[in-house]
Amino acid sequence: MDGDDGFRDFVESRWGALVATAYLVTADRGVAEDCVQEALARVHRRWRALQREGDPEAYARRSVINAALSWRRRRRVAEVPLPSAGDPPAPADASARLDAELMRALRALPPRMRAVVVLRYVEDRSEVETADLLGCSVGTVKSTGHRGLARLRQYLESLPTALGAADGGRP
Amino acid sequence: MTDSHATDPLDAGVATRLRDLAASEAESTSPWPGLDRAVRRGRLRRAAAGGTLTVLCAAMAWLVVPFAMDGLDRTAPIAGPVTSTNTPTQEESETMSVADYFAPPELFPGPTWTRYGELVDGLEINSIAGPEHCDWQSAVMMHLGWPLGTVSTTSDEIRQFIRDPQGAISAQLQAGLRSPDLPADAEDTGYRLAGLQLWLSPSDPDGAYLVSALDVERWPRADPLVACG
Repeated sequence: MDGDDGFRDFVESRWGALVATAYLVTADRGVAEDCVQEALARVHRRWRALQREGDPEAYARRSVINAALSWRRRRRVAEVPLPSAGDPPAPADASARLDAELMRALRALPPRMRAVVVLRYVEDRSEVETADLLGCSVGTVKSTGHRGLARLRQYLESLPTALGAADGGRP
Repeated sequence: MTDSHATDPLDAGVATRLRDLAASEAESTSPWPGLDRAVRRGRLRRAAAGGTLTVLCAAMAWLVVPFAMDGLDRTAPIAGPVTSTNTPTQEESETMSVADYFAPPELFPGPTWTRYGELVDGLEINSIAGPEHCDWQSAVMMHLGWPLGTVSTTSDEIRQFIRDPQGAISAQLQAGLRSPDLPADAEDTGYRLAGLQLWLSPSDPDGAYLVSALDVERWPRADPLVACG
C-alpha cells in the first residue's frame, strides 16, 4: 500500500488501541482483529477525504464499533462454529482464571450492552461520546449502561475469587 | 447537556484489569498482512459494483462478479449462500429496539428474513445498507416485493421503505421516520427478522411499521424509488 500518505503510520499507531476495544466488545481476539482490519479497510477507502475532514480516528473508531457489533451476524453467514468446541480449558493460575472469568462475564452481556459498558466504564468515555460512537441517544447509553453494570456486578459478585487476591499475579 | 461522566463507575480494579487484559491481547497482534488482504478485498468489492446478481434459489443469493486479474478475465462469487442463522437469539431479541437490528445496517445481501417460519428470498424482501459511495451507509433500504408475498423482478414490483435516521439521503425521509403507535388497521405481514416484525396499514400505504419487543418505528415509503447514481 505504497503512496498512502500517512495511512500506514496511522494504522501502526492506532492498531493496538482499536484491537483492544474490539477485543472487549467481541470477547474474541481473532474476531477483534478481523473487525479492526475491516474497519481500517473502510478508512483506507476514504483516507484522503478523512484527512481533509481532520478526524480519521473518530471514523475508524466508529467503524470498529460497528464491525464489532455486527461481526456475529456476519460470522453466522460464513462460518459454522463446531458444536463440540466448548469453552477453553480453565487456566491454571489465579490471575489468568480471573481474567477468563471477567471475559466470561463480559461475554454474557448482549452485544450492545457490552459495548456501552466497555466504552463507558472500561475506556472511561463520556456518555455523549459513547452515544456518538454507538449511534444512539445519551438516554439509551445511561439506561443500557446501568443495566449492564448491574448484570456485570451480579456475575462478578458470584465469583469465588476476590479481585484483590489475584492482583499480584499480573506483572 | 450534562454528562455524568464519573458517576456509577465500574469497580476500578475490574476496569483496570480489563484494560490491561485487552492491551495485552492487542500487543500480540499485527495489522500486516491481514489488513493488506482486507484492503484488497475492499478494492475487489468496489470493482464489482457493476456485477450481476444471480439468484440460484430461494434464500440463497450469490453476487457473481466478473473481474480481471493479471490480464485474465475471471468470475468470483462475492456473497452467499445466505442462511437464516444470522439472527439474534430469542433472548437478545427481547432487549432489542428496532434500531438495534440495524446497528449498523448490513451491506448487500443484508440479513435473511423469514415468513411463517420459512426463509424468504432476498428479492421478496431485503433490508440493506445504503451504498457507501454515496455516503448512505447509515440508512436502511427495505425492498418489498409487491403485491405482498411476491418476488420482484422489475422496479415496478418493488415498494421501497427507507430508514434514514441521519438524513443521509434526504431530510424528507429523515422526517418520515417516526415512532408512533401501530395504526388500528395495521396488519401483520408475517415477515420476521428474528424478533422484528413487519406490519402494514391499509390507511397508511406510504409507511411500513417495524415492531420490536421495545418499540415501533414507521419507515416512510420512497416513491419513486431512491437509488444512488
